[in-house]
Amino acid sequence: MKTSYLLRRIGIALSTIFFALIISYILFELSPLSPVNYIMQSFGLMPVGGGGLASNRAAAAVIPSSLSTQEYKELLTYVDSIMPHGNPIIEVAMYIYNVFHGNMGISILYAEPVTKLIAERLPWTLFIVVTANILSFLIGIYLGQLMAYNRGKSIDQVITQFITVKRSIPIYIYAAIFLLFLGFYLHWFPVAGAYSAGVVIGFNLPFIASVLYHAFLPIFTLTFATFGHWALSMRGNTIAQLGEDYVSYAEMRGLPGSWIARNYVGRNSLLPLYTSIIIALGFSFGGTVFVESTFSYPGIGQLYTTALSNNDWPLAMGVLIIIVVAIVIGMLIADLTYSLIDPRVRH
Amino acid sequence: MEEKISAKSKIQPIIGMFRLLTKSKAASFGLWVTVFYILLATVAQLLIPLVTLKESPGNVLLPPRLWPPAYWFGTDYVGQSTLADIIGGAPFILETSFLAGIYTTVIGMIVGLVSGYAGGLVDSAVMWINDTLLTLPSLLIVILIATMVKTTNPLVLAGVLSITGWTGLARAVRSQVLSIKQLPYMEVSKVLGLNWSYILFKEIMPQLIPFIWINLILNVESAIYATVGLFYLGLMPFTSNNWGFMISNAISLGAAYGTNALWYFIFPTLFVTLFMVGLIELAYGIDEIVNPRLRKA
Repeated sequence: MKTSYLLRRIGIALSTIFFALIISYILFELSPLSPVNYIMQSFGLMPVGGGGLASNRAAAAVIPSSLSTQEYKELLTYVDSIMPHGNPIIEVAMYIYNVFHGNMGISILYAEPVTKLIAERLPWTLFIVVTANILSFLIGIYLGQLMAYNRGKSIDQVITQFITVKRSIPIYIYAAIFLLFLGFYLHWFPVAGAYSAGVVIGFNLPFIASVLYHAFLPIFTLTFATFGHWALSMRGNTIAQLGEDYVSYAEMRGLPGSWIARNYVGRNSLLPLYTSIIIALGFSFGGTVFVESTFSYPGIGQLYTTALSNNDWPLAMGVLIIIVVAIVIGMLIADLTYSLIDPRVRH
Repeated sequence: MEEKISAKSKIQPIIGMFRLLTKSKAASFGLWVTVFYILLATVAQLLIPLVTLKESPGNVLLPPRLWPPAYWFGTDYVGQSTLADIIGGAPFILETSFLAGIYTTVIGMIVGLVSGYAGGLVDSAVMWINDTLLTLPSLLIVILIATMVKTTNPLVLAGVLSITGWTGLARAVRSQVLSIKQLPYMEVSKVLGLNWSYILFKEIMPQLIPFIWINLILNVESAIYATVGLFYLGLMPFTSNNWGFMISNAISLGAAYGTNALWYFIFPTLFVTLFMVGLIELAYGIDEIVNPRLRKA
């Protein structure tokens, strides 16, 4: 029973990664958009005439290396042929083989290995996502308990209504409002980047202070947008636990209320949240795309949108696969360790 | 027999439904908001010529003014009235989100019903696919596919948005079907020799209708989140009256170039927010009405 469940989870994990790989590969292969135009532009090669656009004519006057439409098309097919277009099955197999060897191709936009770009950006994303998730978990648990012990009273209704409205507003709206008002109009926080230009990168106080100062708004936005879920689940779990017999028995034994709240009810209502915190951590990568691109924070979310808007396929594919692998590993860890902390599911 | 059903008897259940909905404060708020947006996307389209301005550099990013009505919400970055932009952008958002909500709900419902009813190998195969899609970061996949397909046709964009959205509903419907399958009346209908499609759609599905309605509304809400988000990220070909584009454009005009884009930012944001809050309140209100556990005495 147990092993079959585990095997199924591992199978789903593998098929998820495989699905992400296949879908991104097929899309990039079949998409009408191509990075070739970007490459040609970066060489300063543009077609003359043909299109008849004013910008093209202006470019032809400025850039001496402009080509005729015929030459341009020939070059286009040549550059296009540099990217391998072979048997798709062999292509995908080769991609997987290379990924396992730490080679995800070379970014077209940055002309650097994708692995290096991701390695540079990933710590920033992990920093804001992990911090924000821990904060929102703690706030949510505190609020949830507060609501559960005051259930039916006005404070419970006010917080519930507030969370309901707050949850329905998308994260990018919060990001936009905080950026515009706290960052731009009030000048309380920086509006872009991960650290100031003047500081020396390394383990020194000005650098750490600058990093924290720049990370404040992204972390605040992510925290603010996500704590409602924890609060509502914690409220529900706590109320369910409060009706259990063992709580009444503990009360009859004369245990202090705070002791029961922390060691009896608190522990048991936290348990079901354990698996969802790792899942939430994985899915925060979705929200972080909006947060990072709003605050120009140099994480992988911003890398992903930059790669997609410039048709930089290898980079977008690499980022997607890294994120999917992170989520899948997080879920497997949650599944495997749940039985360690909850004796009831141990067989 | 069917011809005898008069118009009155057709309207009666709708009126009854409205009466029921207005019992809950949240539901009636949500209902009025939804009606307002539907009117905005249909009837208000006729008003666009009245509030359209001539685009000119002197008109750029003006604050709201009481008269004429075109200046009620201020003006945008080309000197067009923001009110005209918002009204003009409403049909696209509504079409895409409602279509995506319908696609998602229908797929999720059918997959859940069939998988739960059929059981066995079909069930495990479908649930395997379901869990795979459930694990994927749906927003990133949707952004990826939408960027590659690069379409603004609501029919296609809604399809893209609903690729991973149906999984949660399918799982929930499946577990409901599994529990309904245990009930005694299912055995009776099997003994009566009713065929499976009758049992599935006439005996099981009606039990799930309120649940499915709530899910439809929630799916519409998350489709708005994704649609506006896509345009907010600037990955799609946009028009100047797209709400998501307006928000992101106001941000870049305001925060990066230091122009006074405050009003241009506030109104699209307000319209997106109000719509989403309204839909959520409607869903919770319906839940309150149909769910006996939440019903107030």
